[in-house]
Amino acid sequence: MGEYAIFVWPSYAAVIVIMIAVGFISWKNKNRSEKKLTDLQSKFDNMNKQE
Amino acid sequence: MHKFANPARFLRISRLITPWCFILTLVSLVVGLYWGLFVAPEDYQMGSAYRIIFVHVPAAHMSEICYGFMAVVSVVAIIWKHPLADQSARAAAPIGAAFTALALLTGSLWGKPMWGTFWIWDARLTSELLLLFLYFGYMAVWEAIDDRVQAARIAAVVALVGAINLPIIKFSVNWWNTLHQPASLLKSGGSGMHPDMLWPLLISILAFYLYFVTVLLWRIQTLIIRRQIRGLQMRLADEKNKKGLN
Amino acid sequence: MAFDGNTRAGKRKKKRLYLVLTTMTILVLAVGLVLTALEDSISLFLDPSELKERNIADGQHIRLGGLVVEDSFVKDSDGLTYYFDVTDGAETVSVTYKGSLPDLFREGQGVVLEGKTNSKGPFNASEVLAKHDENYMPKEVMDSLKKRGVYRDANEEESI
Repeated sequence: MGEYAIFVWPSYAAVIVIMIAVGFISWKNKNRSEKKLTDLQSKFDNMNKQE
Repeated sequence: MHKFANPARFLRISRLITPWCFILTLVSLVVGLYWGLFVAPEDYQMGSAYRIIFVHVPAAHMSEICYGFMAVVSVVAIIWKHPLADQSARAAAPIGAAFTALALLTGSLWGKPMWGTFWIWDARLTSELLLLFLYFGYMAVWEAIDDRVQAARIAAVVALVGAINLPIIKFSVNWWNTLHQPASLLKSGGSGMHPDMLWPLLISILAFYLYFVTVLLWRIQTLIIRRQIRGLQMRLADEKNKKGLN
Repeated sequence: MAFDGNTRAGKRKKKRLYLVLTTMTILVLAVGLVLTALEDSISLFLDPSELKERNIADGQHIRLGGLVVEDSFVKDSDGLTYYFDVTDGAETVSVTYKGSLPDLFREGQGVVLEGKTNSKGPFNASEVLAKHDENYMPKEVMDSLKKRGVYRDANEEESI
């Protein structure tokens, strides 16, 4: 890489870090909301059973 | 189209697709970036500094594709008033903002050793910076306006008006004198790149497309599920009220 | 999905479509007009012909762009000052510059110079930026092309 390493590596590092961060947050939010939905649905079903 | 645009059906189909998209993203990204960093030959003028192209060009390309996508689905949202269209545009915005920021950052790290400056106010760089602000503006509309219907309407207009900037970014290097060079990939008489450098670039661009599709689908799924949660919460509150009255 | 012009909803959709189309057309025209009017200030630099044509008063801060003329580059004995000519094919301007040059600076390559206009002597650049063309090639390929005499400098064919 030679003298340009100090420009090339940070470029790749920034791209990888930001892409992983955006992807991970999006994936985590999806999972969290999925869990919340199933919790809510079971709560709803329980309430209907009680009647 | 309405069949596909049914949120429940969309959720079902996209859940089947995303795992595969994710795997393909990982594979193509590793192959593309490794090839670009370690296998592709050095450029005769720029040496290894040109390797930034394998992340810079895909990020810059996707920053435009993503906004174009938002503009198209916003037209669908305005005319057909389909909620999935609004949610797709909303889900895409942060991904596009990330691509734009990366395009600016990597371009700056490339510009310093080659051009001699991190930044210059030429037409290409300035219009790309404007794109970043358009993404921020679009995202701010959704955050700032509480009424969902109104937020969706204003956001769609922002996406559509901002889309005028896209051809300006693309053709800025042809219309005006700029420090930024013209396009290498799509120029008359084929590409300006040797095949040994072109292939890793094309694979890297493909990887960024796959990444966009994967993360976009996750984000749209999240928005659809949150909508279902809100609907369920409202019904739950309703039933509780009824019981309280009885 | 289709526009059913007979229903009320279909008519409303059509109306919204026309509204989007007309608004966008007007906006594009307006932006196009503004950009055309601002063409000079959007362009980053003047080329040597434009510089001569315009008769800009001395001492104005401008950017000048062109190709570094082959064999015109001279380094002063102090090791810090450089002299070279910049051309657009029609006109040529002599330049002096004191400072560090970017890595891509070469004879035959495009440059953008910042400095103040000076009709009495050479253009005194305060900053030199190198332009890159849109071609990328491995060193070995370039060497063999040069050896076989196939390669002609890209800058001879297309001016920046």
